[in-house]
Amino acid sequence: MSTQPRSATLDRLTAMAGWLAAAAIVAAFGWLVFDIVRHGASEVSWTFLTAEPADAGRAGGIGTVLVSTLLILGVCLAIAVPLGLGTAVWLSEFARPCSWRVTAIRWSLDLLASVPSIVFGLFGMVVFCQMLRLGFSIAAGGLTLGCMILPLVVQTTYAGLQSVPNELRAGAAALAISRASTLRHLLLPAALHGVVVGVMLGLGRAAAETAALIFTSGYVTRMPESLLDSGRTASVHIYDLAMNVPRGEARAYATAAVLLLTLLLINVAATVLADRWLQRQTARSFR
Amino acid sequence: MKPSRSNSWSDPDRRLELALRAAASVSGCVVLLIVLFVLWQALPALRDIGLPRFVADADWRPTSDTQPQFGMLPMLAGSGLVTLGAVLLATPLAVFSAVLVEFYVPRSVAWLLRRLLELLNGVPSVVFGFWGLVVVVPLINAWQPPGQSLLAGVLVLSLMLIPTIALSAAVALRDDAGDLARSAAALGLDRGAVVWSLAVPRASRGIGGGVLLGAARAVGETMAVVIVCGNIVQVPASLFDPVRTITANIAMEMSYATAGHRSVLFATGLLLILVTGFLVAASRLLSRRGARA
Amino acid sequence: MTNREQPAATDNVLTIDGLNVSYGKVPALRDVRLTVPRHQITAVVGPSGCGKSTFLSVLNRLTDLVPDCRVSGRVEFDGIDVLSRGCDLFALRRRVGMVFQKPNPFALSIRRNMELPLREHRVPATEIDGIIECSLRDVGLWDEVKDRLDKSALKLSGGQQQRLCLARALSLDPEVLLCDEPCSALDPLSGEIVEDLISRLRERITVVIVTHNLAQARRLTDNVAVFWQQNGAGTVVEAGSVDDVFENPQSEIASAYVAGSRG
Repeated sequence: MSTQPRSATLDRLTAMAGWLAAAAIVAAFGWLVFDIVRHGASEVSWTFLTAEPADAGRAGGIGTVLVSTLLILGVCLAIAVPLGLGTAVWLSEFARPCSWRVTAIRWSLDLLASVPSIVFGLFGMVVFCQMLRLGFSIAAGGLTLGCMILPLVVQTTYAGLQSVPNELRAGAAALAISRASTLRHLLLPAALHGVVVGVMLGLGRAAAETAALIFTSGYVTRMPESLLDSGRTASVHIYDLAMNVPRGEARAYATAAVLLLTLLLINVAATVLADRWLQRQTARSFR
Repeated sequence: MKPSRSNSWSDPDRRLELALRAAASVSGCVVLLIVLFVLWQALPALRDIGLPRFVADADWRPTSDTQPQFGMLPMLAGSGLVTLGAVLLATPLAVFSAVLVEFYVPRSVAWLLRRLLELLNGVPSVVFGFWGLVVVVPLINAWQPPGQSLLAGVLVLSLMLIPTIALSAAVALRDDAGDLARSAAALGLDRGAVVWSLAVPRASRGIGGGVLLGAARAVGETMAVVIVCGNIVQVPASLFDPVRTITANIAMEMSYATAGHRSVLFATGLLLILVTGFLVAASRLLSRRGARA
Repeated sequence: MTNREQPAATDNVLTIDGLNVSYGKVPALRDVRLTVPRHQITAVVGPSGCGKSTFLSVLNRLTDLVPDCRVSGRVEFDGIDVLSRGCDLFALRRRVGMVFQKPNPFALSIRRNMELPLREHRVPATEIDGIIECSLRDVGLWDEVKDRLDKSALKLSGGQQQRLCLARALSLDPEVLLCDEPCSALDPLSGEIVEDLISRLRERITVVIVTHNLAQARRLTDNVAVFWQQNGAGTVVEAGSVDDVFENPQSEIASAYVAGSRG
């Protein structure tokens, strides 16, 4: 008898605390997005998106910055996707589960995912910039980011492959279809969603990165002529304007608005795709 | 090599397997390479200066010609305090919102909140930092100057940690949320009691794992803290004092560091790897054992 | 029943001797002995969980796909030692086809479903269309699908899908066809069609069919092997011609089991 009212109070308090917490989070997030977009959007124009930065970034646009960003992301994906795909396929389709090698690789990928991005920057600086003599360059920055998003690509691709029913593998094997063809014609198409979602999330993570780039791809705002030129990404541009350029806020806002909206878009698209595929999959299994 | 398996494969398959295994081995080696290279660069500092001086030296004057000093205590305190504060602030908010998502709201709202947390996770840390600089710092400055402070770092960082902790907590709570709610309702228990005496204790390991993961993220975070914390080398006396974290120290000084100074910075990088690696490994073990029990 | 030829003792296409299979430490089959006569249908019957499907997947080494599966003993197919390391799986699986319980067409068009294995086996491109039509006619599917060969195979009904899988297996011209309860996931009418198709295959190839439907085993097959779980692992408790096993079973277990079909 006596527990009933106390418990009901507990229930109400919990609900209230939950709503308060959620409201605080939503408010802070909304504040952030609203503030960035409100201040930034007025500065964003076609000229801003295409012009070269001038006066240390206080004037001009972010055209060359966007080019460098895309180049770095391109290098990053060119290294992370093949390597990540190969790793995930091997772990899922070829390796004996629970062998020492599989356990070691999975743990090392888990640990890789935990390495702070600034440490990736240190590593990239020593290995890519100095030992491989790439200097402060788009190539060095892209390679560094490639190492960074590798675990993410492996993880989502692996999950995609694991969601393919075993009957498919057995059916293909019973027809003496080689592993290579099974993979190319049957498994990879079926696991495509995992690959796409992984690549998109990796892309978002790489585009958001700053700390790993300040010692690897550098700060140069000129239009890059090759992958061996230094180039700054949008996120490094924001950092530089915020930290090193007095009265750089206006352009930092505008760049932040562009970056934030692009990343929100990529992430929403990735989640929507993942959701839709998940639904289709459950629909299929209940059929 | 397992000959019994390889022999039964056709030649192209065997070549494919070798190529894929090579890719997997390379992926598996990256973290090892990172540790080795950072260790290699840190060796001169560890050998010539030695760990004791990092805490014994009174000051941080790495570039002094006559008497370089490598006292890391302010940075250690900075990283530790920012992390601790952010985790303490983020954990209750994250856990309460996870409880809300799993037990109190209709599916559609829960879906929306979860998506929102995922989006928050995708916001670049430099944008968090910039927002902190233009919004949070001036607010603190108006109250207790200078504004760029331990408190600003704690506030911004806690917002960044919430998605990590909340999503892990939600997963841990979800495992048997439905079953629990039903069987408890059959026993006449109400929701509040179910949550606090059944669900949260059962999910505690998973939640703990999420908190450790958040702590790892906080220790390793660079951009947000570099922008909002002020970067003064001092052990803070209050929440309103500027601080410099280990990560910020690397970001600020690496561009001009040479020789011993540079090596010391790599040694602090090694410390970051060890701490985050330890936190993540502990988080994995904790969550996994929780799931098994 | 009596018009069926009794198998000549020497003409066994498959000889299984002392076969043991385990998954990790859990035994699945122990000391299985069985011979499968050429150009006849052999049924594998028994309660669920006694290793019938495992037995079938040993015969084309599909057990290789299961990481911790251990197989020992002797399986001889036309003079080839199936379990040896040197066994050419590509050739083996072409000569020993398989149809699964659940229809498993690939998520491709009907044509690609048929083409993929043929291409894989280097069948000349000029012959492929002919073989596809011929195989689909064999299973009575040609007239139903000839106008939509490029539509997804997943759009077919369950019965049609199973017949497509049968056609796909037959297109490689196997000598033995393994069928793992091929009718049990289908509606009765489709099941009957598939059963008829299998029954007609007897002229061309050897069929080993797993079934838990004793009536089906009785009307469809020439030989029966009764599997039973003994001491935690499946084994053959009785094997012989269908008449012998059903009318005059030697073991107590088998007689009790087939009694179900008499009653």
